[in-house]
Amino acid sequence: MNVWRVKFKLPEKIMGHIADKRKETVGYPMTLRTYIIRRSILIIPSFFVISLIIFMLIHMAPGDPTRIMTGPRGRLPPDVLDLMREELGLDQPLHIQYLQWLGRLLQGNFGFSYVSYRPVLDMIGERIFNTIELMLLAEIASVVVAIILGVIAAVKVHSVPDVLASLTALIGYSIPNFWIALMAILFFSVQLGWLPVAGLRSYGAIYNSPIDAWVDHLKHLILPVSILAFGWTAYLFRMVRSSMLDVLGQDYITTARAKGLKERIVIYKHALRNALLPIITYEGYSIGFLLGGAAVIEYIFAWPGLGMFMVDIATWRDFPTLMGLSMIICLMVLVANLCADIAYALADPRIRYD
Amino acid sequence: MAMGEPHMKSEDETEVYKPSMASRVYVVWRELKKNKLAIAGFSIVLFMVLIALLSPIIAPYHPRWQGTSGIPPSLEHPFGTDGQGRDMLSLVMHGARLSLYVGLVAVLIEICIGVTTGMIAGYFGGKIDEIFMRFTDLIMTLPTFMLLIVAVSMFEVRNINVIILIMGVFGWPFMARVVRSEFLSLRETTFVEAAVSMGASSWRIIVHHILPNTLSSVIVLATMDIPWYIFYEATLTFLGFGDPSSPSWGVLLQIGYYYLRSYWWIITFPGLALFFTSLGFNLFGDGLRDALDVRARGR
Amino acid sequence: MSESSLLSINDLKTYFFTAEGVVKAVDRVHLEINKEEVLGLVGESGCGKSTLALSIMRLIRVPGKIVGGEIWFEGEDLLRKSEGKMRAIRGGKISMVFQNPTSSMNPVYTVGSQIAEAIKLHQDVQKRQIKEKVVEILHKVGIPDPSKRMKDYPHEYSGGMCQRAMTAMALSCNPKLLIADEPTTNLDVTIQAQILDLMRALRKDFGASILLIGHNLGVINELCDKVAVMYAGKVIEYCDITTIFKEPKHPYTQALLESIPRLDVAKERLRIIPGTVPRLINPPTGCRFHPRCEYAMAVCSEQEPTPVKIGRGHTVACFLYTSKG
Repeated sequence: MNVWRVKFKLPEKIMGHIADKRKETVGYPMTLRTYIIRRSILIIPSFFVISLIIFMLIHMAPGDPTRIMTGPRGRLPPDVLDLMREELGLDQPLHIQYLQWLGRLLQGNFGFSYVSYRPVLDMIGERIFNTIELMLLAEIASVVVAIILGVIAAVKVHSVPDVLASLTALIGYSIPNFWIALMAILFFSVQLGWLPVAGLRSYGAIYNSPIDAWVDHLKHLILPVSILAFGWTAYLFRMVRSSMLDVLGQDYITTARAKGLKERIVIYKHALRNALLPIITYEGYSIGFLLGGAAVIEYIFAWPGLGMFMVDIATWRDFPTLMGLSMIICLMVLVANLCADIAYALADPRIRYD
Repeated sequence: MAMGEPHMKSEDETEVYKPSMASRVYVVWRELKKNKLAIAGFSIVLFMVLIALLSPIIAPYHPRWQGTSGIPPSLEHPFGTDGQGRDMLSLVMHGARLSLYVGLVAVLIEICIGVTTGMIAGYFGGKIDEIFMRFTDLIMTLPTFMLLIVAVSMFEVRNINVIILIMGVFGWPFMARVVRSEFLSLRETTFVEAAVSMGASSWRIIVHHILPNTLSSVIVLATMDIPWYIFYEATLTFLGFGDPSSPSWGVLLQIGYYYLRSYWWIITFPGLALFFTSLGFNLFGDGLRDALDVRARGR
Repeated sequence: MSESSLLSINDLKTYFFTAEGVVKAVDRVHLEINKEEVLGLVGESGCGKSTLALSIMRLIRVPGKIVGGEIWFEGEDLLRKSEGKMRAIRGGKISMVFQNPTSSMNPVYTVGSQIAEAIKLHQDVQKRQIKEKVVEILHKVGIPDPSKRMKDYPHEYSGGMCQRAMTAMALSCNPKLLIADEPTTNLDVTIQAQILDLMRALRKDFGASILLIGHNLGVINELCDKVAVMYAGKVIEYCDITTIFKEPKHPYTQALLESIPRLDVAKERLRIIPGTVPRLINPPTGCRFHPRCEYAMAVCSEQEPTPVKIGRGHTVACFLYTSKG
């Protein structure tokens, strides 16, 4: 599994190699513009590789999808199954199927659900905003908390707040997210009744004003966002702390102090700026991580987003939708990573020459 | 020290000596002992492994024994009983066996594939390496868990070993990257140069010289991956994609979810066990990495 | 303390409190730097030279601590000053150049902006003038095309140029004292020579005193007026540059000079000093060099020798000379 499990402070050379885009720069000088163009173009082959992977994942299970969809006790007569197969193009050899599917993808046709006959894109469109809402809030929360705490912990290294925070982070990193989600629901919603149990908003509620509706929605957001952000925050905190510690030990920090700068400026202007560089790369990986978490969190909180959708259609084995949804999600991740890479190139002057 | 000459820094040269495996382990162990958290982690891991191994003997009740259902935690049933009256403590103990098995085997698969690919990419470099880097980069960014769901759900018959296999196959890029970066740096060391100049074949250099030096990173990574595999399997099962016939903690958690409102203890204790195990491996892995780091850096 | 004295260190003690014990990195050091003078501080790695330099700047951080002594500068004891006042001195009146020029500059900011930062901090100048000053100082240190190069980042500078830029940064506010901690150690020999030339020229231009720290006597000889030799946290000899080569008095200094390989004198073997530099956690009792000294006497292991004057401006800390004293 990927960076999801990127460890806390790995030995420098390992962490450095994962996050240090410098080492992957081309040997010849190139401008920022060239780098961005090059990097953007890279999306195209990535897209094809991903489509191949997803296609293979779906089709690697033994048996053909119609049987899978209708189950081992399928009641449909064989000729109906044959019709289904023909309709879905399943009677063709695999590589033809792949190319057909790919062709449709490139035309913007992400398939039709075999369960509801609705276009996949429509169904995604209904749900994507909810997931984005969750993930965006979780991202912001985790970045803010992790950076603030990480800097404090690094500056006051080995002090009581540092040890406490680090230990808490380790615990947070080890807690299974769905379990803690359920514990939280049991405690806050069932026991204390402070927060709603699930859903986007209270069922059948009538609001006196838009603000009330908004507050209600906010109350529904608190638990899912917190639990979703929890694991990533713990991990990011350790990364920030370790990166800051690294930077604070560098020569140029001593130089900055020797110039007579105030300690606050040394930390925030000189140290933090450098420490945040690898964090940008990690943030690029956070999308993949949070999406995984979103699947289970949305399921538990009945949050109608892409995560819950994925679980549902996987349970029904609605494979055309699965393929379409997977492609969309992977595309989202690709774009997010592109942005992260570009952001990194913008931030680190060493990565491009003139 | 001779004066009047530029002082040569010797920190860049990796000095490799080959003491016996026993003495190496001893040095690491000694370093580890100083770290109380690591010892705690190790104890936890040891504890869970023992429970897993000895569960058929020490579990108070047979896992299929059914008594009164829905008893909350009590003296007789410290973890309570589930909806069908089975003793939760015994179930959790037996669950440990399967969950740890999952973690271990998945990590082994990850190591096999990851080390091999990383080795090749790191040693031979060039075009192979470039393709490798691009490919793993891509895979690493993808949302693994979602793809896991996709992969597992398409199987008609749910079998835990298949799940383990798929997880292991998903996990190799990271291990491979780590191994590759180690190989890249070790390749440039003088002792490898010396081996080459003595006419050692590539194979021998890789296996005999470089590989043992990557062992520490591999072990640390593997230790910290085990809890993730256990977690993934548990989550997959919880969502309904697991193998209901293999009583891992995931199955218990799935049952617990069903009884969430009525019998809260069914989900609490297996989850606690998962958390505890995770914590143990993470603490231990953390400490292990610190201990191995110090040794590599010398003091 | 005389009229011509710029910096006077009295009985300085800087200790590091580690888990394994107390490291007495600088133990009761006396040193004086006069105005417009270049003092060389020589010693092996680990003898405390860098710690001494950082102590003057009060840049010692946990687990280190300056536990005693005085550092007199412009009539005030630097060790008693408030942090705020000390910051004004750092980079302004006393500045420092470090050992690894490329890693001593922040990689994400341009060279020009980092120099400007120093100028802005210590001098009251308008924004426009700052830019001119940066160009001027870069030009003075010999950086070609300064107005263009100031917009470059440190990684675009070569090692030698980085060191020049660092020197520019240190000199930008006309300091009275420049501390150069092994400025040429990590540079090629040819670049070394260039930097030393630069420092010589700048010394004349700026009229600053320089504390040049190093372990290469050849480099020290190029630039310094006086030399102090450090061993295991103590200054064991202090005299002017010609004397140190002609008449070194301390056994360590003598051994040091004899261990330099020379092309003009035929030698079978290089003289080596037996033993190793002591760890400063549990230094030897008495004179710290006595375990390796061929002239060691009984008193050497019992008491620490105090520095004695044995000639004009020549002090040695050795019992060989105390009785003669």
